[in-house]
Amino acid sequence: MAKIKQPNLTAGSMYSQSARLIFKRNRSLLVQPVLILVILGIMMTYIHNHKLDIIEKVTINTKFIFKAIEDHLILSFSAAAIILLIAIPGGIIFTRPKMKRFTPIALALANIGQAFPAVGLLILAGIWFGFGKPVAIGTFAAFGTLPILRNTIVGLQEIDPFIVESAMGMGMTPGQALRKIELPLAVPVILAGVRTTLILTVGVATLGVFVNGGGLGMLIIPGLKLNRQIVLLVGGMLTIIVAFTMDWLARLAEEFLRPRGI
Amino acid sequence: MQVKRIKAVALATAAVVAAMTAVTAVSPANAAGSKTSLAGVNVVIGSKDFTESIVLSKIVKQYILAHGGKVTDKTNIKGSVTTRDAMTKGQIALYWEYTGTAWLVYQKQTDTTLDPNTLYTKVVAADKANKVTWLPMTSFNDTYAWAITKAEAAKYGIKTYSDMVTKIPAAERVWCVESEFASRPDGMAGFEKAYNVPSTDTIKTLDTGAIYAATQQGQCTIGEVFATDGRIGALGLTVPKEDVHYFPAYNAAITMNTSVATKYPQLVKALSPISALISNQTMATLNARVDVLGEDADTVAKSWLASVGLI
Repeated sequence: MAKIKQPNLTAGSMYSQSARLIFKRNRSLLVQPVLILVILGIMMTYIHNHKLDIIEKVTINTKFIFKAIEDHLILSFSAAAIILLIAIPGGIIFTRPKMKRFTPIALALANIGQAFPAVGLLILAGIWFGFGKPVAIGTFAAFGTLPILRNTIVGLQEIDPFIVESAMGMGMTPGQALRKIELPLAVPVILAGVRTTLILTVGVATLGVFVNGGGLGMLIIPGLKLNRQIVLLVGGMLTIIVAFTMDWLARLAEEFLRPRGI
Repeated sequence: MQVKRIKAVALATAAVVAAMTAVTAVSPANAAGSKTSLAGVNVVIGSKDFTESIVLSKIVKQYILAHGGKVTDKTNIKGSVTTRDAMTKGQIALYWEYTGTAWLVYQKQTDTTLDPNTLYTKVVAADKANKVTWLPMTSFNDTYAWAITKAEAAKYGIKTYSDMVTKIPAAERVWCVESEFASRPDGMAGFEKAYNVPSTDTIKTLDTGAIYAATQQGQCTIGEVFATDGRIGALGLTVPKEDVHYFPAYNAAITMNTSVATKYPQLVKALSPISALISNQTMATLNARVDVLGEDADTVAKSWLASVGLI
């Protein structure tokens, strides 16, 4: 439940805080970048001290790795963008009084999306719609919609109805109440869902390799199958680094967007 | 009506019996096969996680059971490396391994030009130190292969791998490979060199299993497959001839933890003749019975053993 410490909740200025203030207040925000650098350092040292054999050289080279990272970012960012575009408006629509009765159906659909075995869904989609990045992105989006949709719905539902009612009583239209009261109050819960989804999507994007989508799976799968630990570890560590970076960016967004006093 | 049906059944039965007797009569392993006793043998049998590996191990399982031994079935272990580790650590006694896999993956060698017999000899010698005993290898070679649809083959008159590169128009050539194949020295890069595949050709990286369906559908013109997979025939695909030797040999053989081999010499002796009886065609048929017809791997193994007179 949202605890209200400050009376003024409607001021637009509450979104913007200076970056310095945020880092000062929340030193834990610095932990992730440090951790990312440490992992990167370990990885580089490991590669540097390892004599690559002919199989490892095929994948452990800058051209291959940068292409894999690029594909991975395309896959996970596009999927995350589609998810945000579907799930947040979806969550808002399904909490409006007129649409409330459809909420269980929407949640059930999102649940089905997440309950599908990801690899199976991917390959079926590839066979039906053609292998490539679009199919991979679409499937990852279907797979990751649930956390944000659920959090948006829950975040909006958890707001004390009296607050909304008093806003209306003060003369706000339902649209104004949504923009100025409900959404700002639901931001922390919604953003928690966004972070979960981002991490999930970066992880799932390693499966892009199965449907001609590329990505860091291009290192992980051959590393596993050919028993070349360095290839597997580099693929895995890079996935962690990408996930950490995305999560860190989302945390920053959270800090900047969270209304003051909540 | 009734009489006719009975007649038909009788005829069919007679035909089957005749066929079985014929097979039994010519089978070289028959004499050694059915009289062997494996009483006292008690082993754990593993396999990798795909049909061929499972069927091969089920053959060993059913053979030992039929000759009075005891078997714990731990087939279908995820991943080649995990399976090999389980065997070297003694958690399983044996499983079927491919010469090419042992050479490239476990022994970390990179020369892929060796012929099947030389490769086998080298692999066996190198594995002695790892306490792994190799039984004789099969004549079948489950190597990488390229599959195209029969329609495509007829349309352009394709008989060999070189034909695929020269006869299919460049714009239509879409190669589908698995990520592993894309990144191994005996994979796509080497093939492109050996067959002068232009670098402008489209290459898609897909899951192993998806390649068969995608090739049948036409999403891929040329799909990387395994030579003995039952789906090649079932999906109307065909494998042209390898006219320039390129792919390494992948003959299968039982690999056994050496301590098990020492403990049960009679098992080694009894299992050794089996591999000679499994040709590419036999293996593809057995795989297809499981993958395409949906038969149980144990049933398939048992009926094959009976058909060659080993049980």
